[in-house]
Amino acid sequence: MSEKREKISNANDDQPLTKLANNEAGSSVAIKTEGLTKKYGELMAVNNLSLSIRTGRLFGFLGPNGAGKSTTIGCLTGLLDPTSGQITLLGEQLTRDSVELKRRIGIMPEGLALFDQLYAHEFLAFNARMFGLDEPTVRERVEELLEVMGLERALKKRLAEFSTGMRKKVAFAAAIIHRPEILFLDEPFEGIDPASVAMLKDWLRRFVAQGRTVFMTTHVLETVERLCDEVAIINAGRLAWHGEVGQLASGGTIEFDGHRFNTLEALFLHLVGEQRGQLAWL
Amino acid sequence: MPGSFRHQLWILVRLRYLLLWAHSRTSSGRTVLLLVLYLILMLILLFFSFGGFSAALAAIELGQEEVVARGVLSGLFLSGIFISIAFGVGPRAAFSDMVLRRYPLSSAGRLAARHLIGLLDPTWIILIGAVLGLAIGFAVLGGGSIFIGAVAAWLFIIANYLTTVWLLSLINRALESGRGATILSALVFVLFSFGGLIAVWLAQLEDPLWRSLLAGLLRITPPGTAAVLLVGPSFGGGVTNAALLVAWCGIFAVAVGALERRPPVAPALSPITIPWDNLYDQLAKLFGKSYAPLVGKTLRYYLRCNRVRFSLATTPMFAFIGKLMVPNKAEEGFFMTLALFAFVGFASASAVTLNQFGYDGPGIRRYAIFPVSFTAAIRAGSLTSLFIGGVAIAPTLALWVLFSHPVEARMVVMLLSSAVAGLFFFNALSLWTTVLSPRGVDFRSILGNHLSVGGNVVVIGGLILIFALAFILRRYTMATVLAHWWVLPLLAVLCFGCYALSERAIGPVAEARRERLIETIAGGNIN
Repeated sequence: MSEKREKISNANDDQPLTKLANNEAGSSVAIKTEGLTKKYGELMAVNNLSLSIRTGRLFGFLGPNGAGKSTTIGCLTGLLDPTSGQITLLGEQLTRDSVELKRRIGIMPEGLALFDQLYAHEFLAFNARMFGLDEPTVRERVEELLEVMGLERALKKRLAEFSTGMRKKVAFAAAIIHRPEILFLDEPFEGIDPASVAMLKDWLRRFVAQGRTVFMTTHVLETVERLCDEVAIINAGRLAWHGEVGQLASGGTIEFDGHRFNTLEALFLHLVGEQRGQLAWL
Repeated sequence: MPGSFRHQLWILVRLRYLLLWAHSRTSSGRTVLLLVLYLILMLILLFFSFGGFSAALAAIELGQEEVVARGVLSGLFLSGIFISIAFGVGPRAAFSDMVLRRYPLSSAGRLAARHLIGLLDPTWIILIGAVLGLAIGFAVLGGGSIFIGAVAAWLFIIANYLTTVWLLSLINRALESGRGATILSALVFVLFSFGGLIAVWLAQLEDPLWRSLLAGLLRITPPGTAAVLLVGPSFGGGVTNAALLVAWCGIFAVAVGALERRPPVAPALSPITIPWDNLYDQLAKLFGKSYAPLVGKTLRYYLRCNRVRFSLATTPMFAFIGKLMVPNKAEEGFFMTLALFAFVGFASASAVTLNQFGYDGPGIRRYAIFPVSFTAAIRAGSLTSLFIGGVAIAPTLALWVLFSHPVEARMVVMLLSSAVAGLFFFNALSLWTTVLSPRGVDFRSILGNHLSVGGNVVVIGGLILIFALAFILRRYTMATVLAHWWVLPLLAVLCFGCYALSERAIGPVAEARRERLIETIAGGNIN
């Protein structure tokens, strides 16, 4: 690796944070796909997707159900093998054997991928150890995460007995425990209580402020509008739109296809088509 | 029964059969279907052999109508319980109260729907066919009445169903806590270990007092009371036995209700201190820094799995298996033990080893996102299985040495070599079944056939191989076998080689089939 790392301190964090010195936020590419395609038999789940996301961005990846969002995240994180196309993360090409590259990314996958028969502390410690954290750091971070996520009272329960929201919190904690440079989150806020969502959003803002990158999918468009810098909309496996959305929060608009959109919802419906079925009996 | 409830019940019964059909289309479902079909064939055979004229004829000719009927009904009664528990059909698979709450049914409606659907499951329909056949046989050829026989047959099936539901509820309750699961495992162990011996002892009882006491006890069981009703009782006997059968139904209905009304055990929500230096992680450290986290996780999964706990508890039984299977023949007993010792190390952890990711559910996806190769997870699972198997061999061998006479060093070496050979050979095969024949399994269950098609082939094929080996050894004298003691250590080395080769070869295959494996265990991912 050519990048030189330097330690910087953060006012809100006692621990030093790692930041790529030569890759200032926004100046280099964190995630890049070229002609990414994933087929399941005859079904084209992702069709020739080309994206480029700079470091230090909070990126929202939107699309209707079955559009190919989770498949794209699966390919970007090494969970799925693309049928064709290239993926570059942090300047390195992602392949089946990209073990070192995987250490630098954190993932909250579809279905959360928890080991249900472990306790929350065991699961988090297991994840931290798999990413190579030393034992004192493992213990310190697990205890801290459980405390701030309000999970320390549920340590006698296995993950199988956790509620949906608690499971999401554990999966989120597992994704960030090794302080990755890119964080992939598949529908991170759905099912979590509002107070915890506010806390997680705050963490994500701080995360990108440190020059790290977040790639997330969600169906909550208001959240994306307020939280994300940049958005891509995928429909039927194809990229339908990609651009900045920061201006919407300050009353601005997005121009596309000869139209002006003052909300992300309006743009989304324009791109994927409104569903206007009528039920006579309702 | 109100019209709308009848309609809802009909829809639910149809749904139940549709689910059964859908299940039969999966590979694991096909295994279960095959075994169930086999049992159905056996029951049909039973029906034709005993249920109709032949049973009645045999019974009347022997002058022992009641005894034959009781024997047949006892067999059917135990079959009903066995099929339900072992194969996951019958009341186990019917809808739970929680599932039925989503439909507009009152609590009484849900209770009725649940048990009516349960009773209309194929298991009980097959059994009622067999019992009715028996009743018709006695009515046509003997002194039985078709009406009384039919009523008795239905009451018998209801008693059988309720007994099964009660047993299953009891098992589920026991599995809610670790202590309950251990007690249950111990009970099953005792039942398996000594049940056969007790049955043989009872059958050999010659004291008339004991025999009449045993006959009296058998007469008041559900099969016993139903048998009296089928063969044509006197008026007084009929009323007494019908009342007894109804009482059995009532007792089990009350017992089922009591278990269902008990609130589930809720774990305490008070904060606890995290036990950092625990045994799992201490043991995992023995496997080196790179494997320790994976082995730590796998070890927890193995040792928390009820099936593995049960197998570990029953493994020491292998030390006595020769004596139990071939009593009074020391040489043949040793040969049987020698052959079966090949299963000692493997049997303890086979529930997980044969299908390493089966219990992970969606968690399997995480192996693909960790900064390790997918093969590392398989290797860690296999190492854990070898470790547990190795640990299980030692006490079993020690027990054999303690309770066998005469013992000589060559025997011990042969037994140890047989166990080590089996451990490596079956673990080598397990690497392949894990990758080529995966199946998602319920972690908490302790009963039922949980193996994949490949797993079943390995276990059944392995047992056939072992028994064939024991059969071949019977042709030789002990002196000849002991003189060739060195063959087994050599075999152990060969099996180790087989394991090492498989372990090396499995990597590319696992990587190539990774997506398919994940899809099978965690479910499809195409969105």
